Amino acid sequence: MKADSKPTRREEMTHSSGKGEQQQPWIKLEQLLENSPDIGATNRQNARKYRTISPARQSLQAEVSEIWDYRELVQNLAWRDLTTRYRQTALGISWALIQPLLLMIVACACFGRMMHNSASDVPYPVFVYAGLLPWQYFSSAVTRASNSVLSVGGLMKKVYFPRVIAPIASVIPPLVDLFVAFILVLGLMVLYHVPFQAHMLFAPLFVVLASELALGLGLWAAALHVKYRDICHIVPFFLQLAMFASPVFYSTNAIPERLRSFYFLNPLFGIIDGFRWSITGTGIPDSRSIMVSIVVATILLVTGGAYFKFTEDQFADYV
Amino acid sequence: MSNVSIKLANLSKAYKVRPKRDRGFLSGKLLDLLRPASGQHGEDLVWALRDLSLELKHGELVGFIGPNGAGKSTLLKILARITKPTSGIGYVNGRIGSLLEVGTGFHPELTGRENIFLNGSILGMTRKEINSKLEEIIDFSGVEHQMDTPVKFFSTGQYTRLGFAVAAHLESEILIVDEVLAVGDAEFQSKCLNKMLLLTGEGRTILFVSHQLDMVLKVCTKAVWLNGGRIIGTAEPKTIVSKYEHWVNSSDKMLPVV
Repeated sequence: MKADSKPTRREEMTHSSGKGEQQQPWIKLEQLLENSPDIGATNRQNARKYRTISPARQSLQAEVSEIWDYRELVQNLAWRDLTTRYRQTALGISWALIQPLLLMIVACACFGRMMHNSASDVPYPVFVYAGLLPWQYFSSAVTRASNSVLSVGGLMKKVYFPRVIAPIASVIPPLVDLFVAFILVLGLMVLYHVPFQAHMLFAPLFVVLASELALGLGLWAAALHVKYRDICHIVPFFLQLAMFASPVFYSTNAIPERLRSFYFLNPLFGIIDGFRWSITGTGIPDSRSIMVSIVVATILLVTGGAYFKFTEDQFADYV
Repeated sequence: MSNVSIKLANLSKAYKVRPKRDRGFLSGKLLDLLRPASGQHGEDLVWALRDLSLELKHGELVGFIGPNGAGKSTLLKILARITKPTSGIGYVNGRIGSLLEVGTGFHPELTGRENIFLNGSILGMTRKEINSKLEEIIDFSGVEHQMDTPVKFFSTGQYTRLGFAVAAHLESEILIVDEVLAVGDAEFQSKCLNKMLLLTGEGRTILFVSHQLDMVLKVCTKAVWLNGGRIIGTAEPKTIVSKYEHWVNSSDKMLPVV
């Protein structure tokens, strides 16, 4: 760990851990304002212009409205990510298409014959590609989100902005990749004579669920990553395992009935099955797996957000 | 209109400093569990700021001076909300724009123009605000011919110019300038100092950290001397700078009472 190479470790202290000797007589904000009445009068109404500095945490409401105030920064950071990622590349944005395409070809070469019967009523290439789309989005969003806080670390030490903007902004650029890669699935469906159906309109719902799950995990990983650099070893490994535990290359039918409810504990099941169903119409997702996805994603998002908020005060000192 | 822009009362900031252990994080934690007492006693507190009280008014150009480790940057970081104080309270009346280092928030792959927008939004400007000031910013930076070049091809000086140009056009009531102007050339430095005087004329407050005492003397309306996390004195730049210089050159390093 980097911090250990220095002779000392700096750590921010919260007020509550202050020892007796350091405790200051607390000055109430009102008291401070009373001493200078001219400020109190004008600025109590103008809360946006006027800020308190204290060891206390911001209220959740204030936090949310602040994130809203900074929505342009979210846009700009996401846009920066997108434009710089494909700058100075020969193939540009088509990388978003090449990766799932190559993965699909490899999967067809490896499992194509084996999965031919068990897969479903759509040709295996369409089946795999439609499953790869949400998977690739999820894995790239989680990876980015988990690195997000560290990668804006330099900035964070110099300018204030709500820290949570970093992981939020990092789950957006992969959406554009998903959209680009999505165009090809339509081509494949035409090629393999898979009919277009109205339930395609459900696809965005599963994408929203995927980004909720990715952000939830990402918030945990990003906050932990600041203090524990183990995260950069854990996340790629975890994602590798998750890919095999999720129905990207195989269908739910391939899993023995008695093991299914165990597999459905994986929140990605509902998302990937659901997305593939809405696009290609194959393999109607089990309602249990979708419930698990919704519940797990929500729990992760709430707890991840809480943990992030709990630790963010220390970020600037640890990065 | 209110006149006070920053008011701090008994502000302190402590960092925990732990003696180094030749172990990984986890084994260190385990050791702490085995010997809980050592974990507590091994921690030392370093006070970067201690009982700081300060009141600044709109339109003041305040120079902060003091040796390295005096707490100048910590104070500015607390004001800019980058880190939180350990105790004490304060309030800031207005938006704070900080220019803490060369090209804060620039992305090397983006062009100068794109970076103006990115940097502006990082500092809290809206797209509209930036658009309305774009010409002015480009003009002020003096690198207009390079606006469509990625900033990785900029020189350090050009970087600073652009960075200062964006921050100076931020409509913040308070601007933090932390030892950055030293990079620019003489012409740009005087341009920045003039801009700073102009801004304070409009009622903005500028917090200026510099080790170039002549600059502090030239532009500041007030100087604050920090040492060891405490304020040694707040007064006219002339008084503070001469006492500070005297202290720096003295052999006994006895702090004067200002």
